[in-house]
Amino acid sequence: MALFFATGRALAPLVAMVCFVGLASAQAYPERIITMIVPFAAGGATDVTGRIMGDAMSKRLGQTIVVENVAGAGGATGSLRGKNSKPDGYTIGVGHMGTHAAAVSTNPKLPYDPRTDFDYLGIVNVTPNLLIVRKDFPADTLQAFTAYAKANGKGLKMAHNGLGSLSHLTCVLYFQLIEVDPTYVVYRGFGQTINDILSGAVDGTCDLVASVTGHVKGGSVKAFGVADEARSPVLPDVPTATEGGLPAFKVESWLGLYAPKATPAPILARLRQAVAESLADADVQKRFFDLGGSVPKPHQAGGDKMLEIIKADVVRWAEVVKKAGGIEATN
Amino acid sequence: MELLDNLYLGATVVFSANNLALCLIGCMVGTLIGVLPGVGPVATIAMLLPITFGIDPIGALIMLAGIYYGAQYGGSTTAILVNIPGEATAVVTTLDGHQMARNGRAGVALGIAAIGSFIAGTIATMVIAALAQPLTKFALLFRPADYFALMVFGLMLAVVLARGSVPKAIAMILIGVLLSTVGTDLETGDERLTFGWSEIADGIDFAVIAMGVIGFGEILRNLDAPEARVAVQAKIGRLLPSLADFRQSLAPILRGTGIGSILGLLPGNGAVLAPFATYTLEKKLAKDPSRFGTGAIEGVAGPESANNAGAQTAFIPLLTLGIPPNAVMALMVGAMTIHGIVPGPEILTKQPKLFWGMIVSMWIGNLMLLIINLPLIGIWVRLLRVPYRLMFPAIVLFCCIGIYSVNNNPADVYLTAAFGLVGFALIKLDFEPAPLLLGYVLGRLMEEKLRQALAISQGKMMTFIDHPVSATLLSMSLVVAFIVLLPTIRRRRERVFAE
Repeated sequence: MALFFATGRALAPLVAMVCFVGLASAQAYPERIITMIVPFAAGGATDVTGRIMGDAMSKRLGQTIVVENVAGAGGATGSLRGKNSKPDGYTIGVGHMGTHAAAVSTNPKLPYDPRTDFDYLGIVNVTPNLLIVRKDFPADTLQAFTAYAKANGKGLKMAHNGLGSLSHLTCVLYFQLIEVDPTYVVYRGFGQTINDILSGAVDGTCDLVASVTGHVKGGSVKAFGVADEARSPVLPDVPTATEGGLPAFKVESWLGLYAPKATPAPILARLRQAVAESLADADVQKRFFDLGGSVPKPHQAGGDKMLEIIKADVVRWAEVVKKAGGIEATN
Repeated sequence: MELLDNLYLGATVVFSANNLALCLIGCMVGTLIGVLPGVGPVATIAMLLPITFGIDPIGALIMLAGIYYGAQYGGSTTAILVNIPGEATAVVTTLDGHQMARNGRAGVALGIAAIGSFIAGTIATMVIAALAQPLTKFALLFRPADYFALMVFGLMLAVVLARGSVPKAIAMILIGVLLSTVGTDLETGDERLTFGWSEIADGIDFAVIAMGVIGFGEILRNLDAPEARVAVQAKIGRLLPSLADFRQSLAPILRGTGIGSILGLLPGNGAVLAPFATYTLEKKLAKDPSRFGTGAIEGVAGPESANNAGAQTAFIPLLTLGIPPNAVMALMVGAMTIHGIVPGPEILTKQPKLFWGMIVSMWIGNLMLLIINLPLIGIWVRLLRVPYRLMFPAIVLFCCIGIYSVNNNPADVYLTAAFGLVGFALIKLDFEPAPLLLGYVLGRLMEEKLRQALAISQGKMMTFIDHPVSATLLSMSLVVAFIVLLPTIRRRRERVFAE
């Protein structure tokens, strides 16, 4: 016992020193520019959300955050680069429900596992999904749309932004719920999809509120079936799926930040703190609101919650994809 | 009167020291990246996006727009001087533009490109200001079946584009179309023609093929036959187009502006076709079509004007419908959303300052570009005197940087090198690369639109005939095919009779 105390006393300064060094390096962090990997092209929704967060976080961390767009393979290329980066806090990345949950089922060659390969900093933006249809579509409510879908089956032409995209998966989920198999028309990205909805070539699509806000507000499309408990504050006039008689249709797309696995705890804590502070910033909240999204609700916030949600969503989309007979993502 | 009010509103926005400066910066940066072979506006605007965070949104968009059409001006410079098309739209300029440079008329080519672009930009801006709203209806007229027919028509034009043998041109187009099918299948998600190589799972980038086949191919040719290059250096000629040159170019400029303005309106990136279509038209209208491909000034004036007009009217689908027609416009959407301006039909009514400010800035920008570019011609032309042993490593270096910057992917650089060898082989075998590039650009769109159209019609081929736009375009394609094949058939018959 005495020996133990003696050793303990002898080691104490050392322990203290190690702690101090650890603390000092954590305090010194960040000493240089931080890179944020966005796995999609510049200018898209993921990119813009990432940049707004990067801007807000860099003010709190006192270091510039540079966005690097590494697009390809539906987000897998960039996320893989994120996974393989040095876990020193100088590389972080953006991931969302597609890249870090659905991709597990839609990409058989996914080179990472979102459940084990990342340390999460937290969800930063959520936006519910909804249905939009062309302006002259013969239905104004989700009930009427569901009835039309059941009556017309393959005659209903639904567009989406690419195999395995969130708009595709949301559509698949909705039509599984109402047990209808419509005709799918595949586009490359939202720009093409919305073009053919506006021209009336196709009937509608399922997408994020954030993507369609401008068109819904401008009255160029009809919208209903917000897949959330409450109406979106961004589009308060658009009824929810529950109001439309389909409470089971619930999809909220999220977007979050990660660091590579095994990022030191103090650095991770510093980053998570910066995320939390940025999300409390009224300017960030307003920017997200303008884009049609919002900061996470309390039960979605934080790195641990993000991992929980990812695990649940991986299972959920695996079921949807399996029921659909398999979906292999394009990009 | 309302139009004048609106233009006045736009002018009050643009004529602030801040926004004028941003417009000038945009035009200068655009000219610079246009001139640097390989570095394109997409990569540049992507890099500059974070800077626009701090500027007010109108100023930011004015600057980015300046970069975009500035690059269209500058892009013709590399196409003319060193035969490297930075963008799909500059491919046509290489045909006669570079030949003019070889004939010692580089200055004239550059001058007429700048003047044509200015006239086109001015007219297109007026079109946008006066007719933006009614024209959106036209933009929405095109459905997938119509786009498919438009692309078929475009491929027919590609055959006309060719100088030499028609079978060779058709072979090149088909190879281009085949190259465009490399990558992940749109409807099944399966990889096609990738041979398990994940680097090309998303397809091969246009810049890789264009820079490799035309750019690097040209460099290899010059290194192979240094005499040709010496000839270019010896002849510099006059720096600005003469009155006769201008008179000869005026009608092509106006026709190009018309075609470019209309095709630019199409949200499905119809602007890509504009220079090709104009070139074909000019070649058909010319008294002596054989001059085309050997340095005809109409072959530069028309397509360059079409190019710039299309670049301007491409703003209409973006600003009035919220649909970005090409990659640069998608970045503009990003720049808008960063500032909380969500693209959609409301921009015109809710953000009149932004809308009219941008329109007026486009005209001011075009004027600035003309003023920047005309004096620069002397400098560019003098660049031709730089010994080739110094010039080509610089070109290769810039190309590599530019290609890498497109996707931040080193594999693209290796691929470009490989395509350089392909380009050299094509030159040696007397195949023309331009139809290949057009086949590549149109092939991808054509396949997508074909499959979308068939999905919508649930497999009924009649969809291509039922819709008047597609029916018209397809019958026009038939007519063009007939015109192209007729001389070949006649020649064969003559030969038969001779025997």
